[in-house]
Amino acid sequence: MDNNAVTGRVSRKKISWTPYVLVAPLFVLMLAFLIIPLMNTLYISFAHYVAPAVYDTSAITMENYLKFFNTPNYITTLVRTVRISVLCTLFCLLLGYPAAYYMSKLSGKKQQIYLLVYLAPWLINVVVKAFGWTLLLSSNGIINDLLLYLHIIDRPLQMLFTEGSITVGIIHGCLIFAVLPIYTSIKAIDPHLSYAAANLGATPSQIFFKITLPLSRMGILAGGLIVFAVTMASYTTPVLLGGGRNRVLSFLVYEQSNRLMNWPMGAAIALVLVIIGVVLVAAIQKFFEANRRRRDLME
Amino acid sequence: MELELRGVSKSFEDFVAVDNVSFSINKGELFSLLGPSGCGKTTTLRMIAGFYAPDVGAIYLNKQNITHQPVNRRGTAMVFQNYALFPHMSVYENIAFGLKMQKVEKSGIQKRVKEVLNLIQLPGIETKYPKELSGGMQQRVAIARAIVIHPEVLLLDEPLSNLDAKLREELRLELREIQQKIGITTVFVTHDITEAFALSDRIAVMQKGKIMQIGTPMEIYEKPENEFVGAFVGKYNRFPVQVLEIQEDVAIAAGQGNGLKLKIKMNATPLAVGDQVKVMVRPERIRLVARTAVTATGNAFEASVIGSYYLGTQNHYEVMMNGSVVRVEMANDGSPIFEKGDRCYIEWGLEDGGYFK
Repeated sequence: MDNNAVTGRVSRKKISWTPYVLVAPLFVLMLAFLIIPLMNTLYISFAHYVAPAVYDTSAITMENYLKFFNTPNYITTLVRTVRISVLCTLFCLLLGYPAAYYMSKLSGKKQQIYLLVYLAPWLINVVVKAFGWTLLLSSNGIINDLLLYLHIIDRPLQMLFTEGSITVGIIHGCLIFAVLPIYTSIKAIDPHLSYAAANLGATPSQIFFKITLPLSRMGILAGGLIVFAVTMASYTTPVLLGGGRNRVLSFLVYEQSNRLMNWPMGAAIALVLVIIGVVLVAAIQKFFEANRRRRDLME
Repeated sequence: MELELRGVSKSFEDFVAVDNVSFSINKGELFSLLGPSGCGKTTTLRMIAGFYAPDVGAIYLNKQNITHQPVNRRGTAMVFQNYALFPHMSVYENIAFGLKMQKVEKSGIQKRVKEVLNLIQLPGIETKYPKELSGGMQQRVAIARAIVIHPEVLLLDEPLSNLDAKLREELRLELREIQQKIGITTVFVTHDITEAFALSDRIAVMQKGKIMQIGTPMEIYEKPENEFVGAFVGKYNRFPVQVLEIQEDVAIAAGQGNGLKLKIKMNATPLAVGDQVKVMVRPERIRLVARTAVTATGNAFEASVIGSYYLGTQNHYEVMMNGSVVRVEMANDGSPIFEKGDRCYIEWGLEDGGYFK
């Protein structure tokens, strides 16, 4: 490559095209089906609504965004969406960590079976899953029937069509997203570290809090962010398990765009959802970054 | 006696890792477990540390039975082959870890961390993280972390194996110096013979879970008690012979069908006429000479040189004697070097060889 000595010419580093070639197909896909539609949505959100499926893009107007932030109902929905996302993230992490920890101590076959159990919800369509929860939680569902039969209650409990049922339904589906990254980060910890810590006098709980937990931080972060992002964007589960009284932002987008055909409004709400999501994710990441005392952590 | 193992055995499913191992170590001694991979030395060390419990047998530290004491309350401290430094903690925090577990107060911790960093000759690196340190520095920090808690016994699991040759030699010397300086009883596991010899007060050679011999490096090298030890710790020439007659404390033996006649000095293991033995002579104890004079008091044979290797400080020869290849190593002291094809004599005194039944 370097033929200075022979020809005396200044040698240039040959550009390696391989990385670009490898990334290109995905990049084109993302560009065509994500970036461009998103840009289009942004563009439409600044348009003026004329009639169902008709909008005027001649002038930029903020009316859709203003309408959104001035409608108390919409703000409530936004807050509800964030609240549910945060709760689902917290629960998935709290439930997922012990599950991942236990799984990391299993060997071979047992581990695979365990993994399959957590993956199982994903083998079922999301609508079918939601209906499964309906069977369990509705007023004449299995749980209420059992409680009534045992005379623990004398009127059925309202469990379905609440924020609680949405949260439960989402956790059911999202737990695996928390378990896997946490499992991976625990597995990546050098087993000799806990031997060393024990040898130096640490009890099993001290080993967990001083060694295992800190070293699995990145897995917790990754799992948490994935659950958060998926929950924010969740549509089917909240609609089926939340009912008309517990709407989430994604449903509003659907309502405006597909029912009322008010595309500028739908676009604006969609953008609000995307931006809130991105901002929160970035904020959490920054928070974690700031807590790293130095670059180049083990992970 | 500081540390004692009595009849310790451990199996993993069908595999017997440690088989009836017993030894005792004195206070301040550096005792090595030496053997090939899979001989059970690391498993034994781990049982002393408490990571595994023996199936049978007991371990005593300072006359107290610690066999079933939990890992974190045993008075042992271990240094691992891959250092096992906590990557998310600074050097200071790593070293302070054991002291924190012992609930030493802050000023005491600061003082002791400083002292031990001076001992390992790395003052001032408290704020660095393991990733920023070289292998040699990491290993020294690992050693510091172990000794700062003032354990009764220091356990070293092949601590130098991950280092390159030059660093290994340097650190070896330092390790011995530190150990002697603080006078701590140490158990050292290795498969490297030179390392074990250079560091140890005494060595236990292990094979397939059993102890083959315990002794000082000199005892093990000069007076191996069985063929495995003899072959493991150095090169040797083997002559299978049968005893023909015995004259006082010298046995005369002959090789099968090759006309070889050897004199063997008898040691603690007596020989009788008709015994089949393997005579063992180390290459450095054989002399290659042009003329021989020891026929009466030693063994001398005609031979022809089939290989001559000049190695600077030494000359290594391969000679053909009575149908077998004998290896000879001689220091380069200025005497003439034999070349391939030369006829010569090889000789060794009766004290220079040993035998095994």
